Amino acid sequence: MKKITRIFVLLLLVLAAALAVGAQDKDFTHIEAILKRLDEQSRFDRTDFSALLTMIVENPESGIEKMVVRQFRRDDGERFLLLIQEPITEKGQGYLLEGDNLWFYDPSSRQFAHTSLKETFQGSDARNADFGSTSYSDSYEVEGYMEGVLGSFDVYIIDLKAVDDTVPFPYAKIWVTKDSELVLKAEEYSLTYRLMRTSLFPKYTKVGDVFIPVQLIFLDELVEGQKTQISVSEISVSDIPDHVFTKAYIERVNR
Amino acid sequence: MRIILTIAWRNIREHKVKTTIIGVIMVIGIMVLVVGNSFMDSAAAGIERYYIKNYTGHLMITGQSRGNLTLFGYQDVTAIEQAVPRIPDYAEIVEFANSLPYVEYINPQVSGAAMISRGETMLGATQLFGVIPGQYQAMFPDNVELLEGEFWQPGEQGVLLNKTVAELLERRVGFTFRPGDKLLFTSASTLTGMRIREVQITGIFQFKQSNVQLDMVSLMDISNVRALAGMVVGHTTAVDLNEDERAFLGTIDEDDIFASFDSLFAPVEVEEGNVGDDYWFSLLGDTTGRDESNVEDLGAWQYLLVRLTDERYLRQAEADFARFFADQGIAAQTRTWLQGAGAMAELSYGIKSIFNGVVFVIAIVAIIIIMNTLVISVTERMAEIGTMRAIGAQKRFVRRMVVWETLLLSGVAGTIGVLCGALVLFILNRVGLKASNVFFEIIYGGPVLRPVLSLSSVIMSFVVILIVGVVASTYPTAIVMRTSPLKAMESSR
Repeated sequence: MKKITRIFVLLLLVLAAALAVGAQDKDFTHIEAILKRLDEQSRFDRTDFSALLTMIVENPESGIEKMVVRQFRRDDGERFLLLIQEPITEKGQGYLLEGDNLWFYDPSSRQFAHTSLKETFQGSDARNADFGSTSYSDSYEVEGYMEGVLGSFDVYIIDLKAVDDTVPFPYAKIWVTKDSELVLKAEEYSLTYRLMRTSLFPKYTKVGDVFIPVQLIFLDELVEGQKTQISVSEISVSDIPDHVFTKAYIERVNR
Repeated sequence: MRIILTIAWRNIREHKVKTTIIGVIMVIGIMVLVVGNSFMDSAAAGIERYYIKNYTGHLMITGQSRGNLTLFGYQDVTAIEQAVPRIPDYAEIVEFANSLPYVEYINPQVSGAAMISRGETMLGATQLFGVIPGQYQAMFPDNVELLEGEFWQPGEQGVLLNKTVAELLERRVGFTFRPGDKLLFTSASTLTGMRIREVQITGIFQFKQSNVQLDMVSLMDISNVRALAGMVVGHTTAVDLNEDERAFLGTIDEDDIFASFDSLFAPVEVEEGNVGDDYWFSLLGDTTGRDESNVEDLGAWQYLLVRLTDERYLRQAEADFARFFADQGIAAQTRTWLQGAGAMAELSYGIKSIFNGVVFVIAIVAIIIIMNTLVISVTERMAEIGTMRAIGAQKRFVRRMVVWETLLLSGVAGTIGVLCGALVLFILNRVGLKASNVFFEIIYGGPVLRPVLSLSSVIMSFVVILIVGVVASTYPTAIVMRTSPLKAMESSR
């Protein structure tokens, strides 16, 4: 009888331990805190931000295209303006984000049309959403995580699921460095969990309190050999006049 | 032979129940085959006729490319990898086409797709065919029914909105679009980026014979479609990359990229100080070069549709064009009307193949049923056959007798089946089969199908039923042959 009691107690202990481990696994509080910090340290809330983006688009069919884009960003109010400077055929085309509205401007017809943050940017592998502030903590919920290594970096590999349809892809997996809490890599998946795009962020810089990637690589996982790299230069956090974030400005700068 | 036929015919008449059962199965089988095949042949012929007559011509000339290129653009995954090529040396090709005596008409086209908006509201989307009205109407005089307005005049711009597209847009805005209204068309290709054009509606139309894919096609002036498709003169400046920009070209090794802690942070100079208005309003500098690069490429076409004086010149035309392209070193190719017609036409043909598969299964089932009935029938006649064998009938004689019985039955039942099938088809032709939904519209190749009896289906049905008869009679004949005459005669006791 004593033996049976002992086995029963032992089983209960094992069960309790397993439940405790399970409960610990489901506790994503510290991962959610990391996501919050990722968002905070990537937002320009106190200053404006502008930079020159050089985009190299590699297409297995059409070869290499280069685009130069001037980016103006004001995260307080969720605004940005992307003004294309090269190639010459697209010079002056612009993307203006005003809160939830993203407008595309075509100087050849002098018309604006609504577009979406989820759309690709000018046939590249970047999405329009890639040019604004990130919002991992608002747009995704944590589905799981594990610890791992990427190159020389110890990382958290975090599985995310979009909470709404404001982000380009419903599922994502991000590799975040444990020490500096920077996203080194992201994989984005379709609803059927097919890998659609891999993003790599091999270089960062710190501007004030904000960390921004200055080298971004987007790999199209549907078309082999198709990728886009973006280099960020001529960074400034000086004030940008309010009128820059208006349709009138884009029209005027194109005259 | 005459004796065998006489005995076979007598047996058919003697065993009325067996004859009726097998005969009815055969009549129904052949009637299904005749009606089904005639039905599919009518649909296929209709699709071919109306596509060639109204949309594709007999041949479609395009630039050389891989992938499933149709009149609607690429209809496979290559659509995200490549733009529809422009036809190289277009003027030479047109000159050559016009020199061929069997070429009746040619019509150049450009295809595109655009989202349609008005003000700040996105209303829907449409497929666009960029055409020259005069040439388009000369080649396809009967396909457009103008419900309101007219084609744009030569030298003018405009869009002829498909009725289905117009109705979709009207549901969003709550009012009816009229000629004179303007709409914004935005193209968004992964290869050519975004372009916007404001275009005035000159008319509302519908294709006289259409389907769900063609219902989404609007006709637009060529200049605007070229602009939306990014078919501009462009620039010839070679891409000049510095060392940093070349660093990540080609294959990427993630471990290599993230190999060092030190390389993760890049010291970047942050520019200080505010700048004046001059800076903000001169950001783009001189835009003259842009305007020159965006001039419409007037010689750019994606498709040259060719209609022949007679379909029998098709092979010759394909060969002549192929030789011309090879001799002149032009990277162009011809495609058939079916390749040009796109998914809907291919789907109709695909469904026909599935139907043929179903017919095959029905034939197998018929063989089994007839074989089973024949086994019973032959077993019942075992004593009779045994007696025949005992009085000197050879195995070959008995085998031929059973086979001829089946063949005679097949012939009579087949003829009745064909007549019944023809009657059914006559009635269906008079009544006309209306497509109740999109699925049937695809199968019918249009909104109404009027099937006609096709000779190929009659021949095929007879061949099938004769094969069924012969195959079905082999097993019972084999049973009879395996049984000794003595045993066969004993079975009657």
